[in-house]
Amino acid sequence: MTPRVINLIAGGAILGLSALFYAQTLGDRFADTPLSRNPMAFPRLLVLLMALGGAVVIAQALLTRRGALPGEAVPALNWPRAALITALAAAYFWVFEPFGFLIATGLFLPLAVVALGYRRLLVIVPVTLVVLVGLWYLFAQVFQIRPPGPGMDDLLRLMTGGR
Amino acid sequence: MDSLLLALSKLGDPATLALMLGGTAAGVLIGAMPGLGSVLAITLALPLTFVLAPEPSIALLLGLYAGSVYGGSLSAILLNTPGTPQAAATVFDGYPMMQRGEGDLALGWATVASVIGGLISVLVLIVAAPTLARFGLRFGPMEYFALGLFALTCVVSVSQENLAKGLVACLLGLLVATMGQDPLTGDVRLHFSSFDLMAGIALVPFLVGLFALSEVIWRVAERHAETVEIKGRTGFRFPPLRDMARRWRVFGKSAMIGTWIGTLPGIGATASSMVSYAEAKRSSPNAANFGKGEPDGVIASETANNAVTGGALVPTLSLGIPGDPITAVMLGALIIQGITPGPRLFVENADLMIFIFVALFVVNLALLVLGPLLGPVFARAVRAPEPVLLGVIVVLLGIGTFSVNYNAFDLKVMLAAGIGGFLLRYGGFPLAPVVIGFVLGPMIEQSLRQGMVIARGDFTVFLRQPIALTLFVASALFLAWSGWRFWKDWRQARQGRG
Repeated sequence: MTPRVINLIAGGAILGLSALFYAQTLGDRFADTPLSRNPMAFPRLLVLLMALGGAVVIAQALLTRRGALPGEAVPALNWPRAALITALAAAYFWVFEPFGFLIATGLFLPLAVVALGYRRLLVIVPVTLVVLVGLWYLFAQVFQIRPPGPGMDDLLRLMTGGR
Repeated sequence: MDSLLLALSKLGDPATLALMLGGTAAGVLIGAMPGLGSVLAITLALPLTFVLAPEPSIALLLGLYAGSVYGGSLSAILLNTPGTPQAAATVFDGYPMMQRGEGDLALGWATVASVIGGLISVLVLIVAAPTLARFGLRFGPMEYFALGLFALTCVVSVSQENLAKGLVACLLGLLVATMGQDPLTGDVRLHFSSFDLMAGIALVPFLVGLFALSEVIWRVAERHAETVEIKGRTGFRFPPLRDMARRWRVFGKSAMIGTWIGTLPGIGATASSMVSYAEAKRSSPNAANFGKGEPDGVIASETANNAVTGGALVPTLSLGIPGDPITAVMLGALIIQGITPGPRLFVENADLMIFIFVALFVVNLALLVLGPLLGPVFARAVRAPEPVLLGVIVVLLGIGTFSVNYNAFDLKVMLAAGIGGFLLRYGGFPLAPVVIGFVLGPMIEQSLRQGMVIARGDFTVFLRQPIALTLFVASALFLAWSGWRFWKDWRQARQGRG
């Protein structure tokens, strides 16, 4: 993508976001409230200024040579890899509570590492185990905040047959 | 004296000491990993501060702060890649020393310079912060509004090439901060009909997502070498005392430059080390050797960037105005602890202030011990496979953020902030104004509206307050200067069309 296209999209996104937030401030609930006591007055002012900023970004893209100021460059990114880690992180956060910390992390960490191109199981497995045990112990025992789902104590109980 | 003894005894607590030293060591290692940096180091630890008492939390954060700023020099010298932007000027002479087979000595100079810069800045902090806080006691809502506006103007003006994008980023931060309950009337606003959003956007998931998660996504997306190789000696050697004494002028001048620049909102350690390097090059009798492995170059850069740590805490602690994203996150951590930085902090919580001074002093001294120990460890850590490192960071972000409120919604906020932060970076929008706008937003809105109530809706009353007026004029000048620069760049870009 060229700097002009990026700036046009960015400006458009800011205008869209401004419109979205502005819509949230509408309504006549506070119509008669003085400005200092009106909870919508300050956000509305911010939204209007932000829309103005978005318009300036668009104008700049249209009026300058490359569509960007000197010094503004487009970074070369690997978008599929960015999408992959975002999707994996989203899935991890999604199942974090229902599956529990141990299961969610036990699935996510090796999967993410392999997906990002590292395949040495002799490293991945011990790192995963150390992270699982270390973090669970740190949070559950030291900070007294039990991570969600079954814990190490449950696993131990299961392994020792409930004793 | 009692406060000092109390601070020392609190710092002597084994858990606090361990957190401080562990934080410093972790900060050095994170700072040394190219691209990770100080903000990531502190945001990673932010969720942990929820479960800790104020003193251990502060000790941990200060350790991470000073450690990560210093850590940037390790990779600058050993890899020719600054671990943090603050260490960019260290590369100029640090790496040529490494190539010459004096990498161990370059690390020694960087360590001594960082410690001296840090210690001098703590002394300035001890003198300047209470003085500024006493002055701040005269501030009412109108002055605070003007001050908040001034801080944002500074941050926006110097944040990046494009003023419009800086302003939009700042407004975005302010706008996100208004979501949820209105601080004055308690009315719920901008909740998009979501029950979870009625409580607003919490500080930790937003900051952690914006900085740390977006950094992970960015690093995965960036194309760079998979493995890093260190060529040359990676030991550690302290410079001879005689040489150190001979260079006292460079140490002193760089420390003053770093501390002074640190107190100004928005400019930060990167600029301070560059300015200090340029000044050392201008005034040094060894000017011809700069860029070829001159220790004065390493000293100038490293003294100045570590001196920023104390300087940046002056406005943060005494006025509650953070000058950069790092101090903004630290301000957030203090607020989490129920401590509101500002002039009253020195009156109501003097013991805590003394603790902060002592802890920062000890943290800087600790670098003198940790530097020689961690240099060789870093040489191994830098070989850690990046996919493993990034995977572990995501896990840390997940459990840390979830544990703050035991709420899965915070994970969604973090993810959204992470994606948003990534897209903002790609679009060339600076992140610093977003976070400073978010942290200062409630204070700015509250003081504006309280001031309007006092002034019975007449905004001109704001302009009749001398301190507020001075700050408004300073903001306007700053903005006008940036606007002029922006206009000049724009014209240049347009002229290039023909």
